Amino acid sequence: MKIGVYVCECGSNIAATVDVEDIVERAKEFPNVEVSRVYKYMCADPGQEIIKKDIEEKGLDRIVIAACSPRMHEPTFRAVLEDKGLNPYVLEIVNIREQVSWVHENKEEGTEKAASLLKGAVLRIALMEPLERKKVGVTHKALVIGGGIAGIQASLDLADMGFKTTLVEKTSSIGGKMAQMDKTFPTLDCSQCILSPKMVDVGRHPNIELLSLSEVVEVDGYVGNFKVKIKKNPRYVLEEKCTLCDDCVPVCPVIVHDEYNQGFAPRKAIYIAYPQAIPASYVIDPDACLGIDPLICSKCKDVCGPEAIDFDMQPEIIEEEYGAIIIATGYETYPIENIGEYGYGTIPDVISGLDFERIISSGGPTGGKILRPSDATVPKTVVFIHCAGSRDPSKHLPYCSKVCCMYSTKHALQYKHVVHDGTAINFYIDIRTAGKDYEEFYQRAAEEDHVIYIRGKVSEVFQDGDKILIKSVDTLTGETVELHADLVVLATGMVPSEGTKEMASLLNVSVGINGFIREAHPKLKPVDTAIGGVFVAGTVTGPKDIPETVSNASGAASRAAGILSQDELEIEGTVAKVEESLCRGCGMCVEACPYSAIELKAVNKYGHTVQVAFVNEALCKGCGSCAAACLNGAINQLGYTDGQILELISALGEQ
Amino acid sequence: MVQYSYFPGCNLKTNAKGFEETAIAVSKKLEAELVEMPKWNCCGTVHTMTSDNMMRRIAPVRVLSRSKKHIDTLEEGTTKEVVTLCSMCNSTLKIVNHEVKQNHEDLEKINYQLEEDEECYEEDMEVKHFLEIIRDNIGYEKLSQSVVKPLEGLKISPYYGCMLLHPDEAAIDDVEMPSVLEYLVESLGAEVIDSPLFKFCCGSYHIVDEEQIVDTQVGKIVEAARLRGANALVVACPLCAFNIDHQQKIMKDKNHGKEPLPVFYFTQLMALALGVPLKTNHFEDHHIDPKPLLKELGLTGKKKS
Repeated sequence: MKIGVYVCECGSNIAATVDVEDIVERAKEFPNVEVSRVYKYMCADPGQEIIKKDIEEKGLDRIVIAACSPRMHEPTFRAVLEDKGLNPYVLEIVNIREQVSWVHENKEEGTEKAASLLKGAVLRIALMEPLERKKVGVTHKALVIGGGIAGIQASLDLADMGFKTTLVEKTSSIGGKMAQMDKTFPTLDCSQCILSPKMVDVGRHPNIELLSLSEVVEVDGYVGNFKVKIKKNPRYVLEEKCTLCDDCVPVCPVIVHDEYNQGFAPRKAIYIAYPQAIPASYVIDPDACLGIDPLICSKCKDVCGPEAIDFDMQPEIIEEEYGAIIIATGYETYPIENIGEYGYGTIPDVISGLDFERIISSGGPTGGKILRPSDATVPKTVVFIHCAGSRDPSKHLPYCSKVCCMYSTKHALQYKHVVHDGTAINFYIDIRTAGKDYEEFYQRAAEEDHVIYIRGKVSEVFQDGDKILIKSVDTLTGETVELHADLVVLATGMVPSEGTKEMASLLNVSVGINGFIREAHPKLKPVDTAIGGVFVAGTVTGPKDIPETVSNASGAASRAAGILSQDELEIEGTVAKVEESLCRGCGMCVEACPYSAIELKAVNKYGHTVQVAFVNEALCKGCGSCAAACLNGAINQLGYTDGQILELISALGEQ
Repeated sequence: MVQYSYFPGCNLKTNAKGFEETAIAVSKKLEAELVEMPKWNCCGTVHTMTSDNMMRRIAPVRVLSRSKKHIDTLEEGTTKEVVTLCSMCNSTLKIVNHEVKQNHEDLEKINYQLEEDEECYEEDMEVKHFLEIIRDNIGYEKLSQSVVKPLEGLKISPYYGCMLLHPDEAAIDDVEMPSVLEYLVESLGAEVIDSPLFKFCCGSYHIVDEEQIVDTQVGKIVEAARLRGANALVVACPLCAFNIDHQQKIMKDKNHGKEPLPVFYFTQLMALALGVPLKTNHFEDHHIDPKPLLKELGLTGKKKS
């Protein structure tokens, strides 16, 4: 065995606190060390060349590099080894920068620590065995869960790149929350007008299979090879036959609240979510319809010319394989029923921001007239309460939902554009306009359109005759404020949707304390999750506005394409390995594994059926939790075996 | 019959005698007797916001410890609850009880100081407001069954004030939409008038130095109730009662107040409905005499035939 030791100065980053010459000299005395050198920047090309030359000339078969964190340059040096025909795992990187020179001031102590770490590495690498990177095949097909703007964008991007994509949407139409909005800030583009072309594209894209009224119910497998079960609920109307003639609606006797219009308008039991809905087909609401079970009424079926209605449709389970999954299950708005100080949602003229979107929408229940819900009169004073249920850790949501300042400003502006003599008052804590052209939009509302901004949180809201009394404080003047409003709009924040919670548990991705899915890294891996092959797009990871959601979705699509475009995926060699003869099938490793990579399997041992732990190497991240948990020492973490770690410890203990 | 260890506090013995006497009288009728604990001291009033001032916590902890001993002497004392009538006592005792249960070291320090009183608190008490006992232990059903003279014609606006609902550790009901007084008033056969100012500050201790503030607050509270058709208010706090009652009288005397609304303690309403002798109400202590209203509604005379 011939070990090469290379110590990096990293300019003065390491050399200032560690006597590099000294440890290079000491390393020459360590067992099996053939050559020991120092260089200013090992990661630079000449540094790599030194290693390559030594491997060639001296026949080295183990390499130890004392430099920065392996997070930085492990891939660089592994490539060097592979280039010269060595196994990439016979490389050990000792972190003498982040863990030594940057955290110590005393050079003597730093040098001692670096030397013992280096010795440990030399002893450990001697026990290292070449590891094999296994390969798995890839199904070149993507699954996108959730048909809001994030899911739509991700699906379109993947489909345009040539990947077959399935888009699963729970409701009868894609479009999500964006479809309910009237206009978008800061440009005041009509939301539906910019969204519907994308929806149409999804509907007719040859690479996209759109499953509406569907839910993902089971996910198995691993990166590149997910096995997914999707439940498709019946629409009771044949999409391909429905001509959207609307003959069925007038005859339907059942009237219920229309969810799309936030309950402010009626709809029938047979309906289309909204005119631009995709799939473009009517749908029957089975909870309201009198024709499903038992069959009491069939008026719509009787008048349907193309015979598109089928009361006997049943749910079906679709089983499919996918290489990558994107979760885009979005958000809900924080329910105003939770906000006691503003009436627990019992005051008819206290509404949510999403309610107001429908009221100002030209396609909404009032045809674009601004009328308040209680008596359908035009409100002359409208109060917009920012942070309704947000930034309030003791009672509500601790976080800022990012979009509410802007959407309240947009609402106030839109109101002033319709009701010229009306008064729009925004109560705010801080105005947060961090986005392109957002501050200008806010300035315009305040200065050109005379929207009033009062800095203070509203303490109480209650019905006072046919008006609403607002009690607050102006924190800039220190005076209490009491005023009467005709309509109050609560800028409620975003909370994870029901679907987000379900998918998180189904796919085993972790969620943060606020229930949003946790990214693999909040800055550098914002669309990855800890589970390989599972990506996130849009508001599933936290509040986002539309531009951020769209770019996030494109990011997720491109990350997913990185997997889908491969024929085979290499799996890290440092995985857990079970020594079957020692395993007693207690299952503690199954519990310990954060990635659900271990399961117990029945095997035949000496004529007896016994349970033995089995590691799915494609799922294993090599964290070592199972090896630490195993009481029998039956699991070895390849690359970090007990023997190797003991050598390390003994070197450190020599001092 | 169940017996509860009852902690009175200072007000109940001075300007809220009607509150105490009616409470004890109705508690017997409801077979949940309030028995005054011996050797009680000040509840500690106005709970300290500091976390390290143990001196301010000695009085309430002594009350808890003595109440526990008291329960052991009660023949029917089957619970570990100390019951209060005053909202302030309830709040202070509850918060301190909650704090010492969380911080064992603090309790040790306090218990050390209590050694000379031969007291030691063992975290085994619960502080309850009588309203909680009515709601959770007695039940509105039993209450309404005990009514002998339904309070027909009384239109009562419940006023909670601050201490029954704040802070979380001391709250006896939902802070934004409480219902305990509403259910109680309904059980007695009176009509509930909801007022949005049910917890609007009564002006509290400003009565001592800034009477004008209390005037403004009380004016709004009473006006909101009157506008909605109330002919009386019900309260659970002696300070609220004093401020609303007394200040209405002052304002009327200054000739800028409207016809005042009488203020009842909730136990006084119970006493009227449960047929407790009228004198226990001590209406002579009220600044706004409720008797003319009661007489007008036929609620003061003998039982309705």
